[in-house]
Amino acid sequence: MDRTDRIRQFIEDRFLVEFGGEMTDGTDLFKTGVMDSFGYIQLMSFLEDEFAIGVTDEEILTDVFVSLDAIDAFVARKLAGQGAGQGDASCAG
Amino acid sequence: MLSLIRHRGPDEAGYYLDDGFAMGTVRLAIVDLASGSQPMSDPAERYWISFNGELYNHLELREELRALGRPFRTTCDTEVVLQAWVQWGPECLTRFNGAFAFAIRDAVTGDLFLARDRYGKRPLFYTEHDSGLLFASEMKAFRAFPGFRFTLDPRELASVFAVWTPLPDRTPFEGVRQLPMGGVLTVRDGRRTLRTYEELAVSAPPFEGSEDDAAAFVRETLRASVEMRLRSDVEVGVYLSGGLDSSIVTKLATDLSPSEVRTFSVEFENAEFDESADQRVVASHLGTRHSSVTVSGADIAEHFPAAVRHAEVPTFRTAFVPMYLLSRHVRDAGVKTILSGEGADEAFLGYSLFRETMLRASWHELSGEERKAGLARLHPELAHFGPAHQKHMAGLFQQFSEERLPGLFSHELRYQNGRFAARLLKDRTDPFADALEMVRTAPGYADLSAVQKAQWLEYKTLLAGYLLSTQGERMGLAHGVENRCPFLDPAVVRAAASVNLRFDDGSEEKAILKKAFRGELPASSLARRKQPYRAPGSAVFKDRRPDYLELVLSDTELGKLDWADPVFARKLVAKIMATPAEEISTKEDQAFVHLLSTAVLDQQFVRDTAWPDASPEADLKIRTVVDKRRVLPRAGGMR
Repeated sequence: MDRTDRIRQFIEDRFLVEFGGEMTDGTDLFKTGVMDSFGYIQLMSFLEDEFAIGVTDEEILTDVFVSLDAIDAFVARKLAGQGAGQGDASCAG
Repeated sequence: MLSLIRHRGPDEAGYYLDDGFAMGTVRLAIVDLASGSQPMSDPAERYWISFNGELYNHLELREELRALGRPFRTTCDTEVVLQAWVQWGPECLTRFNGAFAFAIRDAVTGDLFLARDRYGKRPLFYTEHDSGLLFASEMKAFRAFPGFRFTLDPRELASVFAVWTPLPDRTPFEGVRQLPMGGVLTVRDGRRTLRTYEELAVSAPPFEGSEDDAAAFVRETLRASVEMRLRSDVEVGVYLSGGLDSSIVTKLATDLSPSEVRTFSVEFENAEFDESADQRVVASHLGTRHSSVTVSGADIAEHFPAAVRHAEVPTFRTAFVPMYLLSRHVRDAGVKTILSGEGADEAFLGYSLFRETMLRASWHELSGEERKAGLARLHPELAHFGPAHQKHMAGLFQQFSEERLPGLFSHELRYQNGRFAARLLKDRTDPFADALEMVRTAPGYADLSAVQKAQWLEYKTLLAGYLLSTQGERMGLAHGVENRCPFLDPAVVRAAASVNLRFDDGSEEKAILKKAFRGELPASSLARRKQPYRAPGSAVFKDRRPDYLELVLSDTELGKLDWADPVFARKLVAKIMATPAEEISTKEDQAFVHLLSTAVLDQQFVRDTAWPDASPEADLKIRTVVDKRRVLPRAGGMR
């Protein structure tokens, strides 16, 4: 399962949503009521643990965590910045 | 109709009939037990009243009316309400300090007036049926009217799920309305006119004086409120939760009562929810005769359908069920009037919601460290608000630092849970549309501060729509126990508004209230952080598997719920059933209870099954019958 699918799967399982149809990869998860405080903390912990990335105080205050697209792009940027030559497969473990 | 609500007034009943009109009362006799029967008329027999509730300042108004030449035949507060109406007309309503809903029929003009107290402590529902008007204290009374059928309204359900409670004038049923708090409805020549006689006021001129003076002022205002609410010809007990508010009420009641005060509490088998240690410390400190009812998860599962039948609305928690059992315990103990601490958190900013609102409203002016300090103070009891997640929580608050729903800023984070629950519905209209319209059109609302808007919303939704009704009045009167709320006296609400945030920054909950009673209550009560009253949620149904759980477990049963989205409902139910309780989020738990309670309502009210046997009319203890008919009647009925 690639990076995007793993994030998608986590959101679908934890928040009882299904992407496709009404819910697209660009849907604002806050505006649609998917995200609550408990779920948000779970999602952030998942991203940090699953992809071994750290989110800084500055990054957390941006709009990068509002949709699947945005979250995925953020994780991709972090992984690219973390290590030369490391792609999606290297953090699939 | 009366026989369906006789639990509200088991002492006696009466009705009045004239051409095309009928109304009745089931009475819980509290004041003037012998001669306060209803319906009651003025001496000229022009005005007839069915009165539900209590007028606390009836002694003062009686003197005033006597001085104006009004005659009295009883010592009952109902007669004061009627004479005040005759003297002053609807203007009398602003003079009333009480918990009430009433109907007055003018036998000469045929006019009908319906009115409700300013905080919505007593209910009044109405609906148009067969070109007539039906009204009652509980909607279930309408079942008895020939041809009446309940239908759940998908738009109202969406609003209830999103906001957690019905809006002040709404119900979950199509065409059935509540008279809103502070409202008066006039029916004249078949035309209805609804107006508000008193708007909710959450602001007041700032208190002038020292902090010590303010504390003394708050204490004295509360003392006077409790004293007025101890007026009764029957014993008055106190609900003691163990928290600050009910402890204050208990303290004042013991000071002011000539005899020993009895206190009553809910204890839980599950230690996570139990507050019995605090309750006993306060009871012992104040010397009350204390008793309690111990509630288990099995009790909640067993009595849930009966409690929902009394609540008549979808619920998002199970905490109202123990209150149903507590009122039964109180009634068995021979007490039918109690005082409680409801309204204190709204008036004196007791909820963390208010601190959260202040933090989010000032978010962009705070440094990173100030934000973290603010977050740390919000919910120290919740792990996901703990130090390990503070950075993440800052990200969430950043998202909620700008208003998305105009006028609902304070509640937006909470309403995320409601948005989730609204996904249980097929209806995909904006579930906040009516709440947005309510605040957009509320006089003066736009000028309130962020915290005052939060208070206003709490008064209009969670307090009136759940705490006073589903968890309060409906559960109490299910067993003929009346609730009185000293913190919901207009003078107390005004006093609170004049001192709130005047001497403190709001970071300590109810600081002025604690100062007002320092030295009079156990130190632990004054030091304790507010512990919200909660009960075990979805886990009790999962553990006990009561028969009615099939309403949401079975695909066939789910298919009968024409308002529910079966795909999401199935998904949610499957997750609840398969996940350990500690891993279920509040949002999921609330949505499940919404689903189950609405399915139970559907079964009881819409499909009209699962009702206990109808009560025979003989049980009503009919004492008053006034029949002025020349032709057959067509409408009405209450208490």
